Amino acid sequence: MMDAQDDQRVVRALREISFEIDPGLNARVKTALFRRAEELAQAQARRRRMLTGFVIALLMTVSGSAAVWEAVLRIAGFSRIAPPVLAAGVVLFWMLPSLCATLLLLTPRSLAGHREEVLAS
Amino acid sequence: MNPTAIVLTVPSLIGLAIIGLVCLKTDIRRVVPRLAIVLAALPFLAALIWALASSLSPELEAGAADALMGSGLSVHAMPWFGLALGSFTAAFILSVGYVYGDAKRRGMPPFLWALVAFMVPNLVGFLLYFLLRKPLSQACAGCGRSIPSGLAFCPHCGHPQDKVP
Repeated sequence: MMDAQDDQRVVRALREISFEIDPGLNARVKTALFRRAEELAQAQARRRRMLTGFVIALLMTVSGSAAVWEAVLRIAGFSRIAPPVLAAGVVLFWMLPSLCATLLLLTPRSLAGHREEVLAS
Repeated sequence: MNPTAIVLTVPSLIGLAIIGLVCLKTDIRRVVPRLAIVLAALPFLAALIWALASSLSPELEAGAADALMGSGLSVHAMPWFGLALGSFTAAFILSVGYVYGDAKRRGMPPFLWALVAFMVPNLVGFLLYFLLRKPLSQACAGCGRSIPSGLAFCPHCGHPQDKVP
């Protein structure tokens, strides 16, 4: 149990501790918070841009592939290559690469952005 | 104008718009390498000559239509087909050239990005480039090293930078 003397000693000891208040501290904290808020806003804007880009890329993939498919069907009419081979070629060398490139926009690295972009913000 | 010609007008107009943009906007033209401009001029001129020749000579028009299939393309669409193919090819070459030059000035591997733009089907490569490209870099006033524009201080030497608008 602490008695009154101990209490007084503790209070005295506390009085001897000096708390220096840094005058620039408030401003620094505000600046740090402001920068962090800016970074978050920018990351969110980038994420939105990437998602919009993904939707556009997907539309381009679908419409472009449909046009190429149509053209290939016409070519198949008078070429010596068998239609299933042509179709497989379109899927393998046209649709699939386009779709893979489209999906690249959803990778965490694409969504997070470049280090330089964050630095420039 | 028949329906095929109307459909072919769309790529022609897109191609002509891109060619016009490169010709009229100096800051874009400066980025595109000369070789790309020369290479783009070839299919465009060939397309113009084809369009002019096939519209003037009905025999040539019919011959080209025969040579180009069974494709369902009408004989009268031949000049439009030529113009669409030529202007679109020229615009494509100019765009790949722009990606090359732009990637170079942003400190990205230019050949690799030009290859991506060229190889990825449905023009998705171009979309990827424009979404993933780095911000423009500038030389530091203190140490001269390349740094992203818009920084207040150089990350290498700490020299204060003029704010770029």
